[in-house]
Amino acid sequence: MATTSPPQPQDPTAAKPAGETGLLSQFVHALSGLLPMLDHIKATIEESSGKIPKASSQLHSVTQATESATVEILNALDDMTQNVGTAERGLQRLAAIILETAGDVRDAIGLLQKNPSADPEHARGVETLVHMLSAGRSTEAQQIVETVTGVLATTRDSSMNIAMALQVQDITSQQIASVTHMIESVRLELTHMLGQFRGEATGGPAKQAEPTHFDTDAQYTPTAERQDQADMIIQQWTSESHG
Amino acid sequence: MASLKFLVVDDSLTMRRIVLNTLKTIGFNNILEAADGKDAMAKLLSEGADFLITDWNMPEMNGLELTRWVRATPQFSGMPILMVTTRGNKEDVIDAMKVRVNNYIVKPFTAQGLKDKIDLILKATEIKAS
Repeated sequence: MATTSPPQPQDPTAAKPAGETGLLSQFVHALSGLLPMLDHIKATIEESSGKIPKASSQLHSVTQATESATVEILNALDDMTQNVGTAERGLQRLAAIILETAGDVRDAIGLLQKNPSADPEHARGVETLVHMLSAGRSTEAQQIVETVTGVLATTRDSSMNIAMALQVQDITSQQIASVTHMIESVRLELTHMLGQFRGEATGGPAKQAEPTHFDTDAQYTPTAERQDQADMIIQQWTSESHG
Repeated sequence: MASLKFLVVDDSLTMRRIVLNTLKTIGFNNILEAADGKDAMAKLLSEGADFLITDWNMPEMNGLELTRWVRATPQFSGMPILMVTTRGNKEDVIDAMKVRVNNYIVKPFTAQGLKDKIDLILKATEIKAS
């Protein structure tokens, strides 16, 4: 750790011996002051470049963690969508049963009214059945089914919208990859400089960071603007008979 | 149509899951996945597919290189290809058209947007085939 303040170069004008020997002496004196400074710069570069792999690794961990969490959310959304589908199919069957039951009741009333009985229980039974139909219970039940079906459809759309919004994870991971690449480029530059300090450098430029497989301009803009622009270009391209 | 076999190629697990879930919602359940162009080549050769949905930026082999390979391989040369990418610049779209993708979607996309593009491609390829 280079925590001490950098050594100051000694004042070359402090001593001024006369003639060439004096000049040489001044030069050596100045150099002896510069060397500790260069050592300090070298130590600082070493320290900085040593931290870079850790920074890159931390950024990589962020991407992995967000991807893992996103996949968990997508799994949950997938389960939700399947459950909504099961509930929708159940409601459809329920609606059919309600209709069938109403038809059966209507048929039963018809039969009972065709064959009247002196039994008061029989008459009350017919009245109850007629009330069931006239009170619109089956209609009310159908309305409830329709409302719940609507709620389920909205829930399915919302879960789909959440899933689509999770594309942000891919886009931000590309942005993070871009930053990591920049950091790696800085590390390589610093390593090159260190090599020069140590006299190891070949004199050529610093090594380039590995080729990339991300879009440096990736952006999360959930509007139709960029797609519309792409569609227009495709249309132009196709109309110019390239396709 | 529902029996069409899709190959979804993206190095992002998140994106593969999103495209896969969307395809299932649309009604396509026969779906293969690949993490990059090389993996996609292997899957195509071993299992085949009817429709390719590919990302652009991927390690090993990117989406453009994969499309070039598909178009140059006689058994797959007519396969519908939809490019799904974050790259939305004019030059990018033209580069994709030059290697003969059938259509192009810029991320982030909507479920309806993906469905519309698939429908458009299938309609166009049917017309060409008839």
